[in-house]
Amino acid sequence: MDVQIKKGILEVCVLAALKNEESYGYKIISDISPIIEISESTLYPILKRLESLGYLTTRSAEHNGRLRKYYMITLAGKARIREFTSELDQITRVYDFICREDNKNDKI
Amino acid sequence: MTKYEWERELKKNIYRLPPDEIARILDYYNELFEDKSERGMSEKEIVREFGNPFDVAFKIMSEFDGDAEKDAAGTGAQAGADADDVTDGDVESAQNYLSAVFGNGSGAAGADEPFKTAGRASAGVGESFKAAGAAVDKAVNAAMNAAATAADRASDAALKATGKAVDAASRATDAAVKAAQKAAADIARTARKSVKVSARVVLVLSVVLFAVIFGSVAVGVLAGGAGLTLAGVCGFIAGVCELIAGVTELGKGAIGFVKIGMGVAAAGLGILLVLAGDAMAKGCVILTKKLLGGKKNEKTGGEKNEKDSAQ
Repeated sequence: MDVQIKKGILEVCVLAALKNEESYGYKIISDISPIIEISESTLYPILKRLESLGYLTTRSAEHNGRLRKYYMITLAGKARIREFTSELDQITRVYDFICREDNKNDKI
Repeated sequence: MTKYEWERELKKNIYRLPPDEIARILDYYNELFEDKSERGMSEKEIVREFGNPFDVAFKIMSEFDGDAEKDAAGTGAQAGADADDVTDGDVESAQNYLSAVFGNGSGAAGADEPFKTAGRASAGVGESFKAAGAAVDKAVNAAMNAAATAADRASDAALKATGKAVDAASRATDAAVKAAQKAAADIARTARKSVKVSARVVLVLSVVLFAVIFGSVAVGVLAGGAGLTLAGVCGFIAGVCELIAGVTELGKGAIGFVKIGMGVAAAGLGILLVLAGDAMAKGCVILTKKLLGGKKNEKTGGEKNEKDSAQ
């Protein structure tokens, strides 16, 4: 998958993983990895970017005698998910167009 | 690679980041490590999943450099947008200002065109400046990226070379330690063998010495007993002779009785001593046989144990 496309999709995937409850790094990777490949080193910049854009906030809580960082989605983050899903029709049309044109070229 | 080594390599390669950002990254990986560890993964597995620290650092630095470029580009774009906003409005404001200063005469309306021309010229100059600025930015960014990439590559190469050297040194140390351990084990084995041989020699000598001493004592007792028995028998015979010779003389007869008694007692004691000497001699022989035989058995048992261990 194209790196930029994947990056955009992963950002929304992370937001979706936080949509119903707060989560932490290991759990986010565990929730997303069955759907799309994601590594620890990929998740960190995504979380950082989403936080800087105001799509999520963080808090630290004690777990088994150590601090664990929890991520929570904001209203802006939820709006980003809606925006992404509303673009689905447009993306589908673009995808169909690309496939159609590509097939035409193959026939020629 | 251990967790400590992995973190050390990562830190080495992200040193250009601000300290608080480095701390955040290390906290992030530390938390992931703890969570994976709680789920039963070993240190080695976790570090393998994290991936090569050079690659992780490269990804982090690429993101960081990309963000920095975006920030710079955003500032430039904002400046360009500000310049675009000014063109017509500024011309009109300037026109109004000059009209107010120089009056609203018929010439003022004619001044409109030069202002517009000046405005267009200004806009053209602005565009040229923007294009030049963008080109300069692009060139500077390209040069910085090239320099950063070259520095990263050189750093990677140096780190890899250092790692190889450390590995080689570690292997050499391991080999030396193994050789020393083997030599020490050989020396210990030889020493154990020498001690065993010495102990065996000392034991045999002790047994022989004991047999000689105890045998001599037994022989002495036996000889003494035999002599005493002979003396007792002789005394007995002398007493009988005196008894026969002195039947008529009461005193001599009594002395003959005493001598017979003493002869019997001496003979009895002699017989006891002979029996004791014989027992001692037999005991000496049995004990010597037992000591030497027991050692043989022990040796046989020891060899058997060694064979069992070998199996």
